[in-house]
Amino acid sequence: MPSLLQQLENNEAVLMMYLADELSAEDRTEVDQMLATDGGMRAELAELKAAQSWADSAFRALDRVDPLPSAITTVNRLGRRFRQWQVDRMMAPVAEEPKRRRIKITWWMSTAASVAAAVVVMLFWWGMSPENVQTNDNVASTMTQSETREMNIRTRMSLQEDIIGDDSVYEAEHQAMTIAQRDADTDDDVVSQQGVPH
Amino acid sequence: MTAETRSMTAVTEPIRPVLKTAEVETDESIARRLRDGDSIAGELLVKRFYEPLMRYLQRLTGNLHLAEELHQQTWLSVLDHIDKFEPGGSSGGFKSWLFRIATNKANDLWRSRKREKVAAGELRIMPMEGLPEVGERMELTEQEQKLRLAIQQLPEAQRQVLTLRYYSNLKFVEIAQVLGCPLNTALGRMHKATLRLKQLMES
Repeated sequence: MPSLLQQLENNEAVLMMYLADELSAEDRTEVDQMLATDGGMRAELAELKAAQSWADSAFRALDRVDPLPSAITTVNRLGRRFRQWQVDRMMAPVAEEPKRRRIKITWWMSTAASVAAAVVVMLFWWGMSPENVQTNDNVASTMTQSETREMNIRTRMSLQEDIIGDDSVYEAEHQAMTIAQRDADTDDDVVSQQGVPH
Repeated sequence: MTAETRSMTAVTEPIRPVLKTAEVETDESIARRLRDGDSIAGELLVKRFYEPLMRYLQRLTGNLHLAEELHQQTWLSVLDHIDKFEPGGSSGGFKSWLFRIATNKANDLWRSRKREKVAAGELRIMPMEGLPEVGERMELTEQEQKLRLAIQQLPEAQRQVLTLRYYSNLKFVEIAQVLGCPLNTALGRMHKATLRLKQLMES
């Protein structure tokens, strides 16, 4: 990083900083060496020094004849403002948490939500009633029974075919149908007893 | 420890120098107390900076009433923004921060005055700056009167650097920060202002 002296653009700036004693020890030594060899720079420094000295004394003289109003009045006036500020600060509500983003609910949204909720409740209630619980179970069991029955018929028919032969197909078929009908009647009786609507 | 030895210890113990601590308290430390809501700290700061700040504003505006108004505005602005003040931050110390606020207030005043002048249709109104105020407190000599006028005749930017340097006693690096200009610019203005002032007084 360049030193402060290297950042200064001209002799005036260097001399101003030198007079103000705002240069580092190294920079100051360097300026001293420049002054020792440069007569023009020395003259410039002397002029600057005289001008600053004159300005200092001029301001001091002006301040002497130009007194300020008493500080007490100003301090008291500002003191009252400060105390009021302190009270206001103490009374101020604690900063609220940032508000969550809310969705604006319109009338149709709330209506639709109510209807949807009612439908869900009704479906749930309907689904949970004892009658419907049985119905559902019986539907499943009925389907299983009919499928089983059909399978049984086919199995028996094929067995009859294998054992009896082609001439007795009609008889075997009739027998199988009779057995199947009997099974069906038995199943229907069971289903009727369980109260499944037809 | 018995009651007797305890009382003897109390007598021989040196009194804690409470006031001494308050005397050496830095501006930044007091400003921190003000930020925490201590209004007494604010009053302490006003007292501490009354003279340099008022003088700076007085020379900048050339008018005591305006200076008082700006002084008050500056402190109210300090109250408004004290939460943003960071003692070790880029804003520098409290003094730099305070004078920057005051300078901004003065700049606002100039801007509003310029607008008023334009609105008044370029009417030549006698400037208040530099003229003796009504009920002058002391009889000014011709030389002092001339100096007052000379300060007001300086370009605004030069006057700011000159008065800031003289009354705030800030370093040039800090002055450049306060005015928001490069260091070389601040130094150049100061150099010109000093020479110009001398020239005006000698003419």
